[in-house]
Amino acid sequence: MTTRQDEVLKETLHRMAGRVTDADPAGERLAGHALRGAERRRTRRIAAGTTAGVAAITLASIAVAGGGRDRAEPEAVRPVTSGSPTHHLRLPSNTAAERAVVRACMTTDPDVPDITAADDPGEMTGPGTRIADFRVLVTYRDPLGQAVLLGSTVAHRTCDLDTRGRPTATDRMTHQTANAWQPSLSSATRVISLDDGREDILHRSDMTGDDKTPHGVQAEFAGRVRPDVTRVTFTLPDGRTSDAAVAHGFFLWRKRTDTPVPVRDLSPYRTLVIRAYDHGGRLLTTVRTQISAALAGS
Amino acid sequence: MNHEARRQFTEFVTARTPSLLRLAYVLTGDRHAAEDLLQSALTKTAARWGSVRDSPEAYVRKAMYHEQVGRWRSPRWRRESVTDAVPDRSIADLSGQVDLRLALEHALLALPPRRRAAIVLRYFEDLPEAEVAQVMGCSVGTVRSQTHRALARLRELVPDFAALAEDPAPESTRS
Repeated sequence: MTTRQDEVLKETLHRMAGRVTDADPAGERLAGHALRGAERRRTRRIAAGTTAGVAAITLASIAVAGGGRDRAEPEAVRPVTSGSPTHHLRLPSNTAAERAVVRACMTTDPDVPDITAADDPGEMTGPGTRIADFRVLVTYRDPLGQAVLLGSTVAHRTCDLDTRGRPTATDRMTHQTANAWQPSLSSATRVISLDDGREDILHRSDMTGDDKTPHGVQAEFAGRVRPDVTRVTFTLPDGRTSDAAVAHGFFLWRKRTDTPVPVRDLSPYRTLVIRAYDHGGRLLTTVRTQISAALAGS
Repeated sequence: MNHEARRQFTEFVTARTPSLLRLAYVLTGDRHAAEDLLQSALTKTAARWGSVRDSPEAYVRKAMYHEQVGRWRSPRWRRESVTDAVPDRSIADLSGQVDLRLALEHALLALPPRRRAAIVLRYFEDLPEAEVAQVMGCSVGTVRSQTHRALARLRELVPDFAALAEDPAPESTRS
């Protein structure tokens, strides 16, 4: 039996889909891009085949949101060179203020998808998946408020708070997703490991439906660093460099614009350079990832 | 790809782009991301045109689904985030104050991609569970569990939607 709920769900989906009919991209343009992309893929496969065995570096693939795979694949965090010292991270204790932050950011226990399950992902349960298990690992402050990396022994997620300490409406939703650490926290830590890299399209909560033009975009990068890393910097393509917050062996950095951003300006992506330094200012490693042009300043 | 194959591919894309883009939009919730998703799926389709030319649309749809859901496993995927212009207006609040369907849209966008895809395939594409399972590459049981979890989350996020659960649809609108 079809219920009103089924009907409303169908109507909502079709209503959403109906928004794209006015300005459909020309099929010929899409076809042309696809044909050229397919040719480039073929060329790359051939090239890769001829150099197989030469490159020994393993790159952990980081998918760029909304990114067509015919675009240059984003560069990912490089593993530390072999023979480097290893250690295991321990979670810090929460202060009373930090416990309040966790409670503000998590109104219910998070959903932790079990990414090891190939078919039905399901949810992870047990220790490390409850609100009380999460700690504030590192806090990044800027004029717009603060971002925090929350983590347990099992999973992590970021949360954005305004200047008054209020989480965004999205962060206040129940059962937010927390992603399992990959590799686990008990694994040896690289010089720098990018565990969370994401871009958010920001919508004001009073703008809905057809007027829902993004009013901003934000990129956040967070992860783990080896204990000897005391400074992590992010450099945009135009050379501007800013420091990430680093604490307890974790780091967090964000870049945000609160000016209207047409979605067409979110791509292409630009290279974002991440550098890790030790206490003496010695550069330990340089890694590259990507950031939307809208945030890249060029 | 020879000239004739290129012509066929272009003809297919031109004819089916509006429909495929709508599917991409409900999968991603974002126009820009939808175009990227479709473009990526079409690129894969073009690369395999020789073997999929008999049923290219099914291949494109499957490619879009897997591309979108693949992002779920990635540490980096773009999400939509609602910030506060009006304090205290959360998704749950929207359901009562503005419009059930708008609240439902926000809630759909908050679902993990795999669950959203299950909902899209069942309720937008109107595919039977067996076909959804085929597209998702999983068992019918998994389709059921994914759909069940997604609906439970939607009901949780939008109380007015939950209240509709037991109401039968009017005869004239039943499918």
